[in-house]
Amino acid sequence: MNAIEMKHVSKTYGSFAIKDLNLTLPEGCIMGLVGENGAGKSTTIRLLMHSVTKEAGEIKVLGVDNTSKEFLGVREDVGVVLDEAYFPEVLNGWDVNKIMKHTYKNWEEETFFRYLDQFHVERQKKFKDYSKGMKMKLAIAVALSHKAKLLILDEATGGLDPIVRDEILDIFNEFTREEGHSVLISSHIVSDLEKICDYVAFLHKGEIILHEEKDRLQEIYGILRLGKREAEEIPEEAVVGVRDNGYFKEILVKREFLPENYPIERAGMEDIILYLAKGE
Amino acid sequence: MKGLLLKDWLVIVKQTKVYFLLMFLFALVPGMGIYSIFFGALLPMTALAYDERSKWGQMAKMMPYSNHKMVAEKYLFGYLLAGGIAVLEAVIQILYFILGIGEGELLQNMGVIIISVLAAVNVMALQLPVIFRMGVEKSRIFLMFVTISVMFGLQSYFSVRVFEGGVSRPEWSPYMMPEIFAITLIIQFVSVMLSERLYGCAVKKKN
Repeated sequence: MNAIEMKHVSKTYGSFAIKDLNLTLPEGCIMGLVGENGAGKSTTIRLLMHSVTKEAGEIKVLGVDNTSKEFLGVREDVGVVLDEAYFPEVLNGWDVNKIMKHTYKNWEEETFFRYLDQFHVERQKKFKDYSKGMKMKLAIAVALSHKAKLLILDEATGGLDPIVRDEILDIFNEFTREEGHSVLISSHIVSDLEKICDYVAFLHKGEIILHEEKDRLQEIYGILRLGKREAEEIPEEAVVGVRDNGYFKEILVKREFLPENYPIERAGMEDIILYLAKGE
Repeated sequence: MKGLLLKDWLVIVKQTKVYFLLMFLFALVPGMGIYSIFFGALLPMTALAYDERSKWGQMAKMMPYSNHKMVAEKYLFGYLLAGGIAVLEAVIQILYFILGIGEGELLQNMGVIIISVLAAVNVMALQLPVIFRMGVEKSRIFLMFVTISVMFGLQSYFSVRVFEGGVSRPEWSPYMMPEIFAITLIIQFVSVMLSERLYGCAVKKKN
C-alpha cells in the first residue's frame, strides 16, 4: 500500500498554481519534498490533509480518499508538524498533554513527556516564552506521541540547531523502522533530506519536476566539466542544466544518453536540485 | 470535542482571571446576576479571538476534528459557562432567601435566572454565525451592539417590577416557559447549522 497517493492534483491561488501534481510515497519509506520558497510545498501538505480543497485530481492518505468521511479517522494516524506551531500562547507542556489526551484516541502521555525531556522542553513554561526551536520541538513531540503511522513534516527542522536537528532526524529514521510507518518531510536543508530519505520529490513553481528514489539519482545524473567547445558536442537530450564558469562549463547530464568514456562525476542531491531549478 | 473544550477552558481561565472575578462579584449583587450570565455566554467569542490570534484553526485542521465539532464546541462551551454561572447565581439567591436578604421572591428570581440564560445563549446564537464568517475583529461592533441591546432590554424589563409605578408590561408567567424553551431550541438549531455552513465558507475563502 502507498502511504500517500496524489494523482493529477491541481489548485490555483491567483497567479500561483499547483499543476497536475503526482506524488506517491510507498509505505515504510521517507520522502523528502524539496523546493524553493513559494514552490508549493506547504500547499501540497495542506492539500494532503484536506485543509485546502483541491480543484482537480485524487488524493489518498493511508489508502483513504481524503474527501471521504472516513478521512477524519485517518487523521488519528497522521502526525503533522506545520511550518510553525500554532498552540495558544498561554498553554504549557502540561496543558498540551491534557488537551491531546482528549484529542487523539491513542495518545501516549509517557511518550510525550519522554520526548519533552529529551528535547529539553520545559513542561511548565508558557508557549509564548518558548524559542522558535522549542515551539517546533513541542509540535514534533505531539506528532510522535499518538501512535501515528504517517508523519507529515513541513519545514519541521528549520528552526533547530544542527545537533538537535541531527537527533530529530534520527528519531524520524527510527520511526520508519516500525512496520507500515512512513514520513513525508519538506525542507530547504537538502543535506538533511539526503541523510534520511528514500525518495526525493522536487517541487518547482507548483510542478513536480523530479520524483525519484534517492539512490537512483546517482545512477541517473552526473556532472561533466568540459571546455566550451567540447560542451557543445553533448547531445541535447543528455543535458539537464548548465553552469558557465567562464573557462569551462559544468553540465548536469543524464548518464543514459552519454557513452561510458565521458568523465562523468558524481552529482550530489543539492547539485541536481540546483541545476534542475535553474536549467540552462 | 472534550479536547477542544479543555483547550478553551484552559485558555480562558488563564487569560481572563479578572473577568471571572467580575462575574463572581456581579453574581453576588442582587439584580446584577444577569450580567454574569451574559458575560459567561460571551466567552466563546473571546475563545474564538484567542484561536484567531494563535492560528489554532490551522493546527486543528490537521487533527481529527470535523468542521461540525469545531463549531458545535463553541456553542457547548457557551452553554456550559452560562449554565454554570446560572447555577452559582441560583445558589446565591437561595442563600439570600434563607438569610432573608436580597429582593423579590425566590421563584420569581429563579425565573429571571432561567430567562437570562436563555436570552444569553440566544444572543450567543445571533453572534456566533457572524464571527465564524467574518472573524472576531471585523464583527466586533455588531457583537457589542447586540449584547448591550439585549442585556439592557432584559434588565429594564425585569426592573419595572422593582420600581413602583413603572411602565406597565405583560406579566411574566412560568407558563410561558415551554414556548420560550421551544423558541430557544429553534434559534440554537438554526444558528449551529448556519455557523457550520458559514465556517465552511470562511475556510474555503481562506483557501
